[in-house]
Amino acid sequence: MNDTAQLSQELENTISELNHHKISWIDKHLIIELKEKAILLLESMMRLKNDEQQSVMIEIKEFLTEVKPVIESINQTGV
Amino acid sequence: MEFRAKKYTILMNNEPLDIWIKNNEVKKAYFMDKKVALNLDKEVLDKIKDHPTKIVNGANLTDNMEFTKSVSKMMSQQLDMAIAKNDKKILSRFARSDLVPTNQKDNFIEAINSPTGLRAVATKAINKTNAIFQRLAKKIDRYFDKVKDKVANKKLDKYLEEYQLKEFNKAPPLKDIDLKQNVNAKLKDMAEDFVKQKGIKYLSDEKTSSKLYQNEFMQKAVIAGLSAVEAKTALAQEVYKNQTNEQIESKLNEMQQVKETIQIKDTTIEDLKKQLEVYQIKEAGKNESLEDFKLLTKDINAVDKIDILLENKEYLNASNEEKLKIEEKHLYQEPLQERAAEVKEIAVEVVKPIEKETVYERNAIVDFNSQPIKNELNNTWKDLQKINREQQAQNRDFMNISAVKFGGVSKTQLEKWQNFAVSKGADKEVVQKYMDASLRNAEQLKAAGVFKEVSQGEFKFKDQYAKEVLFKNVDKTNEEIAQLNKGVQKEITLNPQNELKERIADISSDKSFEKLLNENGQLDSQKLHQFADHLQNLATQLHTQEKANTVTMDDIKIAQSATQEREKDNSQQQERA
Repeated sequence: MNDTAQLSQELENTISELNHHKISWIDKHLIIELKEKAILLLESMMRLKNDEQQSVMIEIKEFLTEVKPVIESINQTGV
Repeated sequence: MEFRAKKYTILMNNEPLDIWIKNNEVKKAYFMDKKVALNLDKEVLDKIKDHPTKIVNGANLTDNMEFTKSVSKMMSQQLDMAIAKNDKKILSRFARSDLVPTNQKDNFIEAINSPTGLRAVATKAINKTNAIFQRLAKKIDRYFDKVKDKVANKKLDKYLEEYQLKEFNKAPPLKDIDLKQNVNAKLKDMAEDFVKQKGIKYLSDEKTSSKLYQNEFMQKAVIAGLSAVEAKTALAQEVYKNQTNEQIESKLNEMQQVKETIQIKDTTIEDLKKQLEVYQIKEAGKNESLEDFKLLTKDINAVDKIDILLENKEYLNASNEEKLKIEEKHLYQEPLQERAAEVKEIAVEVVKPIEKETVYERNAIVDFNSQPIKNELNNTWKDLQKINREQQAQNRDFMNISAVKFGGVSKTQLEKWQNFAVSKGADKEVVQKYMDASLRNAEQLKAAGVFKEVSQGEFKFKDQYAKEVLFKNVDKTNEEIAQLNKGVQKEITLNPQNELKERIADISSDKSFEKLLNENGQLDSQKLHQFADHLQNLATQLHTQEKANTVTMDDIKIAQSATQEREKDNSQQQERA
């Protein structure tokens, strides 16, 4: 339970950081796609059980690592 | 059933996107005067078709996430293809436009290809996260089916309601809790430890993580033999201990608005599944010759085909002229039979006289996501709230600005607010009167065409323009607002000739198009008829001889059923006559 709440908080932060309004038109679709994936993972984690939930949680940690540089880049890039 | 495609222009930051719509499908699209592949969903197409003029401001459509995503992808592909062809004209047009990051304009090509830029970093992340989803799909039997089923049946999701959030679901919402009430001293200590241990900065009934934290703490209380509902209060008191009532109220309001705008729907999951297939093809498939490309992209649409084409060796090594031919043949060609049927329709329309029509233009220009507008909205709301509180009356301007701030009027939300306000000592009668007046005002705004009632007592803005009208005119009468909401009156001339010429040029070859003009350079309707027959015959011949590139069995079936339908219509009309 502890991990679930912490992970969902991290995912929620990531979701709000993946803000396509900050991004120019040519790149918006990339950010929307990552955001959709993040929401899908959050929904999955909440709804799957036992081993399936554990598998999703492992992949969420990986997902957060992969998306981190994107968020850094969003915050540096001018629109 | 529409018999011919119609042209609409969507302005994307001043760059025109021309699309031809027929039967709720984009038949052809041009961006920066170049052919592009674009899929748009029915909701957006309806909105475009309902627009009184054929020029639509793209900013009005960005509320639809599918639109934003599809158009952004189209632009990105257009840019990639221009890079592949070193098309300086398109590249410089992009560089001059507002569609690329401002800090990349000076050294555009270098910036766009930079491995450390946002584009490269995000593309890398997309590929890596594709791999993550593929691993999930492999590990978990029917992962997507399960997720799809559970997401689609959210309300029936017993696991979530009864187990993960069992205690949380028993307690009243945070807004209805009196944070000044006395709670058990043991609970107070437990809450202090819990908040410190988890580093909780806020509580919200909207955010998943916050619900989980609340549930966890309430479970702890139950195990310790204490009240779960009181535990929720103790936790909220601890989190918000140094804040005033107003600060808490405003924080909870803010949370309520930060609900995610992207909803996971069946179509989102289907899109992702399809995209993973394309990713898999790109990763595993041999993509050297055009034959490889044809084989790989047999069952996918033009938008997805482009991603694979851009990695095809034969295409990349071809001359620019050959590249264009390949794109035309493999991405954009419409079935011949369909084109022939459409030409026949155009021949009928071409003789129609020129008409004049008065329309109302409704182009929204206010960007509600921009910080200055957010500030203006919040300041006006605060000022009017102050007046409303002082007057203890039903201030209509405040109702209107609240509707803009909260995206509409909701009976459920008003009831929640009513309970909260009364529990804080507000006069029940005054609050009730305000609530009734708000709902009456919402009904009137619905009649004025500003709101649509999505379910009983739930009013949402009809569109972005309606929201803008109310934002700028909170103090006007509802009649004045209704008039303003119609848009700006304008007289337009309906002259389909140019549009028809353009479409004919699109669906026929240059040579056959020339033949359709009379000596004055105008369309000759009789020649059009002949051309249509010619195309139809050609299609039938092609079909009977061998399977052609451009005509498939499906195309013939569609064209045949369309012909049958039309014949049926004609015979019914004759019967009526």
